[in-house]
Amino acid sequence: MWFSRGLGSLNGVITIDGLVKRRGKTEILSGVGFQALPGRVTGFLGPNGAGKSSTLRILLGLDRAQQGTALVNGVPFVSLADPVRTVGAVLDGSGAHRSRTGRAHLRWVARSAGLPLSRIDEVLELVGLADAGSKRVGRYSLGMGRRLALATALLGDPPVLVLDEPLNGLDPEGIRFIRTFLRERAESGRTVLLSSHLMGELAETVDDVVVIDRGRIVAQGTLAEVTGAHRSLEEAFFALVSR
Amino acid sequence: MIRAELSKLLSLPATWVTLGWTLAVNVLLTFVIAVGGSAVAYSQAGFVVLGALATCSEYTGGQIRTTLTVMPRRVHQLTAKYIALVALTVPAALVVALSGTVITMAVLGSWAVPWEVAEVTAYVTLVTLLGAAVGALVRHTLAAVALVIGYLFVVTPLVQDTVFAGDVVTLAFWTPAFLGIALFVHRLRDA
Repeated sequence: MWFSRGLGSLNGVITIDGLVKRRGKTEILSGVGFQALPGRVTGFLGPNGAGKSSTLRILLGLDRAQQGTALVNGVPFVSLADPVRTVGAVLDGSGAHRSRTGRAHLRWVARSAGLPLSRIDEVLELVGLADAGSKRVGRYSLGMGRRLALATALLGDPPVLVLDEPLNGLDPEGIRFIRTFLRERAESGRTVLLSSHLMGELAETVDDVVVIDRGRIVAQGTLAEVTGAHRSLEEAFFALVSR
Repeated sequence: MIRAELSKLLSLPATWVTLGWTLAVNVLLTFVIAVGGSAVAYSQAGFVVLGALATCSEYTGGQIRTTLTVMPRRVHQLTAKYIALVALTVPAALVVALSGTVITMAVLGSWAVPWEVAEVTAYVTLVTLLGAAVGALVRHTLAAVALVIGYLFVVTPLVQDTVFAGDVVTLAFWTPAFLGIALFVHRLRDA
Protein backbone atom coordinates (compact mmCIF):
# COMPACT_ATOMS: atom_id res chain seq x y z
CA MET A 1 0.00 0.00 0.00
CA TRP A 2 1.13 3.53 -0.64
CA PHE A 3 1.21 4.54 3.03
CA SER A 4 3.71 1.83 3.88
CA ARG A 5 6.40 3.52 1.81
CA GLY A 6 7.97 5.53 4.55
CA LEU A 7 8.03 9.40 4.45
CA GLY A 8 5.69 9.36 7.48
CA SER A 9 3.12 12.06 7.87
CA LEU A 10 3.87 13.84 4.60
CA ASN A 11 2.72 10.92 2.50
CA GLY A 12 0.07 12.04 0.06
CA VAL A 13 0.14 15.63 1.28
CA ILE A 14 0.36 18.51 -1.20
CA THR A 15 1.87 21.62 0.36
CA ILE A 16 1.95 24.86 -1.59
CA ASP A 17 3.52 27.88 0.05
CA GLY A 18 4.10 31.48 -0.98
CA LEU A 19 4.04 30.99 -4.76
CA VAL A 20 4.82 34.08 -6.79
CA LYS A 21 4.71 33.90 -10.57
CA ARG A 22 5.30 36.79 -12.94
CA ARG A 23 4.99 36.77 -16.69
CA GLY A 24 6.52 39.90 -18.08
CA LYS A 25 5.28 42.67 -15.81
CA THR A 26 2.03 41.02 -14.73
CA GLU A 27 1.99 39.12 -11.48
CA ILE A 28 -0.14 36.02 -12.00
CA LEU A 29 0.31 34.55 -8.53
CA SER A 30 0.94 36.69 -5.45
CA GLY A 31 1.86 34.37 -2.60
CA VAL A 32 -0.45 31.41 -3.18
CA GLY A 33 -0.39 28.79 -0.42
CA PHE A 34 -2.62 25.92 0.76
CA GLN A 35 -2.59 22.21 1.56
CA ALA A 36 -4.43 19.23 0.12
CA LEU A 37 -4.70 16.22 2.42
CA PRO A 38 -5.09 12.46 1.97
CA GLY A 39 -8.61 11.08 2.25
CA ARG A 40 -10.12 14.38 1.10
CA VAL A 41 -11.21 15.96 -2.15
CA THR A 42 -9.86 19.51 -2.22
CA GLY A 43 -11.60 21.89 -4.62
CA PHE A 44 -9.40 24.68 -5.93
CA LEU A 45 -11.93 27.21 -7.10
CA GLY A 46 -11.77 30.53 -8.82
CA PRO A 47 -12.92 32.44 -11.89
CA ASN A 48 -11.13 32.00 -15.22
CA GLY A 49 -7.71 33.62 -15.20
CA ALA A 50 -7.47 33.65 -11.38
CA GLY A 51 -4.31 31.52 -11.40
CA LYS A 52 -5.64 27.98 -10.88
CA SER A 53 -3.89 26.41 -13.87
CA SER A 54 -0.67 28.35 -13.21
CA THR A 55 -0.58 27.04 -9.64
CA LEU A 56 -1.19 23.45 -10.74
CA ARG A 57 1.41 23.73 -13.52
CA ILE A 58 4.00 24.89 -10.99
CA LEU A 59 3.00 22.06 -8.64
CA LEU A 60 3.56 19.57 -11.48
CA GLY A 61 6.93 21.02 -12.46
CA LEU A 62 5.71 22.32 -15.83
CA ASP A 63 6.27 25.98 -14.99
CA ARG A 64 8.65 27.66 -12.56
CA ALA A 65 7.68 30.09 -9.83
CA GLN A 66 9.85 33.09 -9.03
CA GLN A 67 9.26 32.49 -5.32
CA GLY A 68 7.69 29.88 -3.07
CA THR A 69 7.47 26.12 -2.96
CA ALA A 70 5.07 23.46 -4.16
CA LEU A 71 5.71 20.05 -2.63
CA VAL A 72 4.25 16.55 -2.90
CA ASN A 73 5.19 14.20 -0.05
CA GLY A 74 7.51 16.97 1.14
CA VAL A 75 9.58 17.19 -2.06
CA PRO A 76 9.29 19.19 -5.30
CA PHE A 77 7.59 17.24 -8.10
CA VAL A 78 10.76 17.07 -10.21
CA SER A 79 12.57 15.31 -7.33
CA LEU A 80 9.99 12.53 -6.91
CA ALA A 81 11.67 9.14 -7.20
CA ASP A 82 8.74 7.58 -9.04
CA PRO A 83 6.39 10.29 -10.36
CA VAL A 84 3.97 8.00 -12.23
CA ARG A 85 3.31 5.89 -9.11
CA THR A 86 3.08 8.99 -6.89
CA VAL A 87 1.02 11.63 -8.72
CA GLY A 88 -1.51 11.31 -11.52
CA ALA A 89 -2.09 14.55 -13.42
CA VAL A 90 -5.04 15.45 -15.63
CA LEU A 91 -4.51 18.74 -17.43
CA ASP A 92 -6.59 20.21 -20.25
CA GLY A 93 -7.17 18.18 -23.40
CA SER A 94 -6.12 14.57 -23.85
CA GLY A 95 -2.38 15.09 -23.39
CA ALA A 96 -1.87 12.68 -26.27
CA HIS A 97 -0.65 13.06 -29.86
CA ARG A 98 -3.64 12.82 -32.17
CA SER A 99 -2.16 10.35 -34.63
CA ARG A 100 -1.35 7.75 -31.96
CA THR A 101 -3.95 5.29 -30.73
CA GLY A 102 -5.12 5.60 -27.14
CA ARG A 103 -3.43 2.30 -26.35
CA ALA A 104 -0.12 3.38 -27.94
CA HIS A 105 -0.22 6.55 -25.85
CA LEU A 106 -0.73 4.56 -22.64
CA ARG A 107 2.00 2.14 -23.71
CA TRP A 108 4.78 4.73 -23.81
CA VAL A 109 3.67 6.16 -20.48
CA ALA A 110 3.67 2.66 -18.95
CA ARG A 111 7.16 2.07 -20.36
CA SER A 112 8.45 5.34 -18.92
CA ALA A 113 7.73 4.00 -15.44
CA GLY A 114 8.37 0.31 -16.06
CA LEU A 115 4.71 -0.52 -15.42
CA PRO A 116 3.30 -3.84 -16.67
CA LEU A 117 1.52 -3.35 -20.00
CA SER A 118 -1.47 -5.23 -18.55
CA ARG A 119 -2.30 -1.98 -16.70
CA ILE A 120 -3.28 -0.42 -20.05
CA ASP A 121 -6.42 -2.51 -20.52
CA GLU A 122 -7.23 -2.14 -16.84
CA VAL A 123 -7.27 1.67 -16.95
CA LEU A 124 -9.05 1.77 -20.33
CA GLU A 125 -11.76 -0.41 -18.77
CA LEU A 126 -11.85 1.77 -15.65
CA VAL A 127 -12.56 5.00 -17.56
CA GLY A 128 -14.95 3.39 -20.05
CA LEU A 129 -12.68 3.47 -23.10
CA ALA A 130 -12.25 -0.31 -23.46
CA ASP A 131 -13.66 -0.25 -27.01
CA ALA A 132 -11.77 2.86 -28.14
CA GLY A 133 -8.21 1.83 -27.25
CA SER A 134 -7.28 1.04 -30.85
CA LYS A 135 -8.75 4.26 -32.24
CA ARG A 136 -6.53 7.21 -33.01
CA VAL A 137 -6.79 10.00 -30.44
CA GLY A 138 -7.59 12.45 -33.26
CA ARG A 139 -10.90 10.63 -33.73
CA TYR A 140 -11.88 10.84 -30.05
CA SER A 141 -14.62 13.18 -28.89
CA LEU A 142 -13.70 15.84 -26.34
CA GLY A 143 -15.08 13.70 -23.53
CA MET A 144 -13.15 10.62 -24.71
CA GLY A 145 -9.94 12.66 -24.76
CA ARG A 146 -10.61 13.67 -21.15
CA ARG A 147 -11.18 10.04 -20.22
CA LEU A 148 -7.88 9.09 -21.87
CA ALA A 149 -6.12 11.77 -19.81
CA LEU A 150 -7.67 10.27 -16.68
CA ALA A 151 -6.64 6.76 -17.75
CA THR A 152 -3.07 8.04 -18.19
CA ALA A 153 -3.11 9.55 -14.70
CA LEU A 154 -4.34 6.25 -13.20
CA LEU A 155 -1.75 3.98 -14.88
CA GLY A 156 0.54 3.99 -11.83
CA ASP A 157 -2.40 3.84 -9.35
CA PRO A 158 -0.98 6.92 -7.59
CA PRO A 159 -1.96 8.05 -4.07
CA VAL A 160 -2.29 11.64 -5.32
CA LEU A 161 -4.46 12.92 -8.16
CA VAL A 162 -4.23 16.47 -9.51
CA LEU A 163 -6.91 17.49 -11.98
CA ASP A 164 -7.27 20.81 -13.80
CA GLU A 165 -10.91 21.47 -14.69
CA PRO A 166 -11.79 17.75 -14.90
CA LEU A 167 -15.44 18.42 -15.70
CA ASN A 168 -14.74 20.54 -18.80
CA GLY A 169 -16.00 18.93 -21.98
CA LEU A 170 -17.88 16.14 -20.23
CA ASP A 171 -21.52 15.23 -20.77
CA PRO A 172 -23.78 14.81 -17.69
CA GLU A 173 -22.95 11.12 -17.53
CA GLY A 174 -19.24 11.89 -17.64
CA ILE A 175 -19.59 14.51 -14.90
CA ARG A 176 -21.43 12.01 -12.70
CA PHE A 177 -18.75 9.40 -13.39
CA ILE A 178 -15.92 11.76 -12.41
CA ARG A 179 -17.68 12.88 -9.23
CA THR A 180 -18.34 9.34 -8.05
CA PHE A 181 -14.89 8.24 -9.04
CA LEU A 182 -13.10 11.06 -7.20
CA ARG A 183 -15.18 10.49 -4.06
CA GLU A 184 -14.17 6.82 -4.11
CA ARG A 185 -10.50 7.74 -4.51
CA ALA A 186 -10.65 10.05 -1.48
CA GLU A 187 -12.60 7.53 0.59
CA SER A 188 -9.88 4.95 -0.04
CA GLY A 189 -7.40 7.35 1.60
CA ARG A 190 -5.97 9.07 -1.46
CA THR A 191 -5.46 12.77 -2.06
CA VAL A 192 -7.55 14.48 -4.73
CA LEU A 193 -6.89 18.09 -5.75
CA LEU A 194 -9.04 19.50 -8.52
CA SER A 195 -9.53 22.95 -9.91
CA SER A 196 -12.79 24.28 -11.28
CA HIS A 197 -14.72 27.40 -12.06
CA LEU A 198 -18.02 25.53 -11.75
CA MET A 199 -19.20 25.93 -8.14
CA GLY A 200 -22.59 24.28 -8.44
CA GLU A 201 -21.14 21.13 -9.98
CA LEU A 202 -18.68 20.66 -7.15
CA ALA A 203 -20.48 21.41 -3.92
CA GLU A 204 -21.45 17.74 -3.48
CA THR A 205 -18.01 16.41 -4.36
CA VAL A 206 -15.48 18.38 -2.33
CA ASP A 207 -14.54 18.17 1.34
CA ASP A 208 -12.21 21.15 1.46
CA VAL A 209 -12.34 24.35 -0.55
CA VAL A 210 -9.61 26.80 -1.54
CA VAL A 211 -10.80 29.93 -3.35
CA ILE A 212 -8.38 31.91 -5.51
CA ASP A 213 -9.04 35.29 -7.10
CA ARG A 214 -6.56 37.43 -9.04
CA GLY A 215 -3.60 35.38 -7.91
CA ARG A 216 -4.46 35.44 -4.18
CA ILE A 217 -6.13 32.92 -1.91
CA VAL A 218 -9.28 34.61 -0.59
CA ALA A 219 -10.73 31.73 1.44
CA GLN A 220 -9.87 28.22 2.50
CA GLY A 221 -11.31 25.63 4.82
CA THR A 222 -13.85 22.83 4.88
CA LEU A 223 -16.87 23.15 2.62
CA ALA A 224 -18.99 24.19 5.63
CA GLU A 225 -16.46 26.79 6.76
CA VAL A 226 -16.14 28.42 3.37
CA THR A 227 -19.87 28.34 2.67
CA GLY A 228 -20.43 29.93 6.10
CA ALA A 229 -23.68 31.84 6.42
CA HIS A 230 -24.30 31.81 2.67
CA ARG A 231 -27.00 29.65 1.21
CA SER A 232 -24.63 27.76 -1.05
CA LEU A 233 -20.99 27.48 -2.03
CA GLU A 234 -21.86 29.35 -5.20
CA GLU A 235 -23.21 32.33 -3.27
CA ALA A 236 -20.24 32.32 -0.93
CA PHE A 237 -17.99 32.28 -3.96
CA PHE A 238 -19.58 35.32 -5.58
CA ALA A 239 -19.41 37.18 -2.28
CA LEU A 240 -15.68 36.38 -2.07
CA VAL A 241 -14.43 37.13 -5.56
CA SER A 242 -14.26 40.57 -7.03
CA ARG A 243 -15.66 41.32 -10.44
CA MET B 1 12.97 6.35 -20.39
CA ILE B 2 14.77 5.36 -23.59
CA ARG B 3 12.18 2.62 -24.10
CA ALA B 4 9.39 5.15 -23.59
CA GLU B 5 10.93 7.55 -26.11
CA LEU B 6 11.54 4.74 -28.61
CA SER B 7 7.95 3.61 -28.11
CA LYS B 8 6.78 7.16 -28.92
CA LEU B 9 8.86 7.34 -32.10
CA LEU B 10 7.80 3.92 -33.36
CA SER B 11 4.08 4.44 -32.70
CA LEU B 12 3.97 7.69 -34.64
CA PRO B 13 2.71 7.04 -38.19
CA ALA B 14 4.61 10.11 -39.45
CA THR B 15 7.90 8.42 -38.52
CA TRP B 16 7.24 5.54 -40.90
CA VAL B 17 5.83 7.73 -43.65
CA THR B 18 8.94 9.94 -43.52
CA LEU B 19 11.36 7.01 -43.46
CA GLY B 20 9.51 5.21 -46.25
CA TRP B 21 9.53 8.22 -48.55
CA THR B 22 13.13 9.05 -47.74
CA LEU B 23 14.37 5.54 -48.58
CA ALA B 24 12.24 5.35 -51.72
CA VAL B 25 13.39 8.72 -53.00
CA ASN B 26 16.97 7.89 -52.13
CA VAL B 27 16.93 4.68 -54.18
CA LEU B 28 15.24 6.44 -57.07
CA LEU B 29 17.72 9.31 -57.05
CA THR B 30 20.66 6.94 -56.86
CA PHE B 31 19.49 5.28 -60.08
CA VAL B 32 18.96 8.64 -61.75
CA ILE B 33 22.26 10.14 -60.67
CA ALA B 34 24.07 6.81 -60.50
CA VAL B 35 26.66 8.20 -58.13
CA GLY B 36 26.33 6.71 -54.65
CA GLY B 37 27.14 9.64 -52.40
CA SER B 38 25.22 12.38 -54.09
CA ALA B 39 21.68 11.03 -53.70
CA VAL B 40 22.17 11.61 -49.97
CA ALA B 41 22.63 15.30 -50.77
CA TYR B 42 18.88 15.35 -51.44
CA SER B 43 17.51 12.53 -49.30
CA GLN B 44 19.08 14.08 -46.19
CA ALA B 45 16.06 16.39 -46.22
CA GLY B 46 13.94 13.41 -45.15
CA PHE B 47 16.19 12.85 -42.16
CA VAL B 48 15.90 16.50 -41.14
CA VAL B 49 12.12 15.99 -41.12
CA LEU B 50 12.51 12.80 -39.06
CA GLY B 51 14.62 14.61 -36.46
CA ALA B 52 12.30 17.62 -36.26
CA LEU B 53 9.26 15.33 -35.93
CA ALA B 54 10.84 13.49 -33.03
CA THR B 55 11.00 16.62 -30.88
CA CYS B 56 8.17 18.75 -32.31
CA SER B 57 5.53 16.00 -32.14
CA GLU B 58 5.62 16.53 -28.36
CA TYR B 59 3.80 19.79 -28.94
CA THR B 60 0.78 18.23 -30.68
CA GLY B 61 -2.29 17.59 -28.52
CA GLY B 62 -0.51 18.80 -25.41
CA GLN B 63 1.55 15.62 -25.23
CA ILE B 64 4.46 17.61 -23.73
CA ARG B 65 2.46 18.01 -20.51
CA THR B 66 2.11 14.23 -20.25
CA THR B 67 5.78 13.73 -21.07
CA LEU B 68 6.98 16.17 -18.42
CA THR B 69 4.62 14.96 -15.71
CA VAL B 70 5.67 11.32 -16.19
CA MET B 71 9.36 12.10 -16.87
CA PRO B 72 9.95 15.36 -14.97
CA ARG B 73 13.75 15.19 -15.15
CA ARG B 74 13.92 17.09 -18.39
CA VAL B 75 17.58 16.66 -19.27
CA HIS B 76 17.24 12.88 -18.81
CA GLN B 77 14.03 12.84 -20.82
CA LEU B 78 15.38 14.77 -23.81
CA THR B 79 18.66 12.82 -23.74
CA ALA B 80 16.61 9.60 -23.81
CA LYS B 81 14.83 10.96 -26.86
CA TYR B 82 18.15 11.73 -28.60
CA ILE B 83 19.35 8.18 -27.91
CA ALA B 84 16.09 6.63 -29.15
CA LEU B 85 16.34 8.75 -32.30
CA VAL B 86 19.91 7.59 -32.95
CA ALA B 87 18.81 3.97 -32.44
CA LEU B 88 16.17 4.46 -35.14
CA THR B 89 18.29 6.60 -37.48
CA VAL B 90 21.52 4.61 -37.68
CA PRO B 91 19.91 1.52 -39.27
CA ALA B 92 17.96 3.72 -41.71
CA ALA B 93 21.10 5.74 -42.52
CA LEU B 94 23.01 2.52 -43.10
CA VAL B 95 20.35 1.38 -45.54
CA VAL B 96 20.61 4.69 -47.37
CA ALA B 97 24.41 4.56 -47.44
CA LEU B 98 24.51 0.92 -48.51
CA SER B 99 21.78 1.22 -51.13
CA GLY B 100 23.72 4.08 -52.69
CA THR B 101 26.93 2.08 -52.70
CA VAL B 102 25.42 -1.17 -53.93
CA ILE B 103 23.49 0.50 -56.72
CA THR B 104 26.51 2.52 -57.79
CA MET B 105 28.64 -0.61 -57.87
CA ALA B 106 26.01 -2.46 -59.85
CA VAL B 107 25.47 0.34 -62.35
CA LEU B 108 29.01 1.64 -62.74
CA GLY B 109 30.97 -1.40 -61.68
CA SER B 110 33.09 0.77 -59.39
CA TRP B 111 34.05 -0.05 -55.81
CA ALA B 112 33.05 2.09 -52.90
CA VAL B 113 35.11 1.84 -49.78
CA PRO B 114 33.47 0.89 -46.46
CA TRP B 115 34.76 4.21 -45.17
CA GLU B 116 32.32 6.01 -47.44
CA VAL B 117 29.43 4.02 -46.02
CA ALA B 118 30.50 4.96 -42.50
CA GLU B 119 30.87 8.61 -43.43
CA VAL B 120 27.44 8.80 -45.06
CA THR B 121 25.86 7.05 -42.06
CA ALA B 122 27.54 9.42 -39.62
CA TYR B 123 26.60 12.45 -41.70
CA VAL B 124 22.93 11.45 -42.00
CA THR B 125 22.73 10.71 -38.25
CA LEU B 126 24.22 14.12 -37.42
CA VAL B 127 21.77 15.85 -39.76
CA THR B 128 18.86 14.02 -38.08
CA LEU B 129 20.03 15.06 -34.63
CA LEU B 130 20.48 18.66 -35.80
CA GLY B 131 16.85 18.56 -36.94
CA ALA B 132 15.85 17.25 -33.49
CA ALA B 133 17.84 19.91 -31.61
CA VAL B 134 16.47 22.80 -33.68
CA GLY B 135 12.99 21.22 -33.36
CA ALA B 136 13.31 21.17 -29.57
CA LEU B 137 14.28 24.85 -29.65
CA VAL B 138 11.60 26.21 -31.99
CA ARG B 139 8.87 23.62 -31.11
CA HIS B 140 7.36 23.80 -34.59
CA THR B 141 8.04 21.11 -37.21
CA LEU B 142 7.77 23.27 -40.33
CA ALA B 143 9.89 26.07 -38.88
CA ALA B 144 12.57 23.64 -37.72
CA VAL B 145 12.67 21.84 -41.07
CA ALA B 146 12.85 25.16 -42.95
CA LEU B 147 15.72 26.40 -40.78
CA VAL B 148 17.85 23.26 -41.05
CA ILE B 149 17.16 22.64 -44.74
CA GLY B 150 17.79 26.32 -45.43
CA TYR B 151 21.13 25.94 -43.73
CA LEU B 152 22.08 22.69 -45.48
CA PHE B 153 20.86 23.59 -48.98
CA VAL B 154 21.28 27.37 -49.16
CA VAL B 155 23.83 28.53 -46.61
CA THR B 156 26.42 25.77 -46.74
CA PRO B 157 27.19 26.07 -50.49
CA LEU B 158 27.98 29.76 -49.86
CA VAL B 159 30.26 29.19 -46.91
CA GLN B 160 32.46 26.30 -47.99
CA ASP B 161 35.89 26.21 -46.33
CA THR B 162 34.55 28.03 -43.26
CA VAL B 163 33.46 26.59 -39.91
CA PHE B 164 29.86 26.75 -41.15
CA ALA B 165 30.39 24.30 -44.02
CA GLY B 166 27.89 21.48 -43.68
CA ASP B 167 30.27 18.56 -43.98
CA VAL B 168 30.60 15.72 -41.53
CA VAL B 169 33.46 17.44 -39.67
CA THR B 170 31.74 20.78 -39.03
CA LEU B 171 28.46 19.00 -38.23
CA ALA B 172 30.33 16.89 -35.68
CA PHE B 173 30.91 20.18 -33.89
CA TRP B 174 27.65 22.06 -34.50
CA THR B 175 25.23 19.20 -33.89
CA PRO B 176 26.43 18.45 -30.32
CA ALA B 177 26.50 22.20 -29.66
CA PHE B 178 22.84 22.54 -30.67
CA LEU B 179 21.88 19.36 -28.80
CA GLY B 180 23.42 20.90 -25.68
CA ILE B 181 21.72 24.27 -26.14
CA ALA B 182 18.38 22.49 -26.65
CA LEU B 183 18.87 20.51 -23.40
CA PHE B 184 19.68 23.71 -21.53
CA VAL B 185 16.68 25.63 -22.88
CA HIS B 186 14.34 22.64 -22.41
CA ARG B 187 15.39 22.43 -18.77
CA LEU B 188 14.81 26.08 -18.00
CA ARG B 189 11.72 27.16 -19.85
CA ASP B 190 8.07 26.85 -18.92
CA ALA B 191 6.56 23.96 -20.85
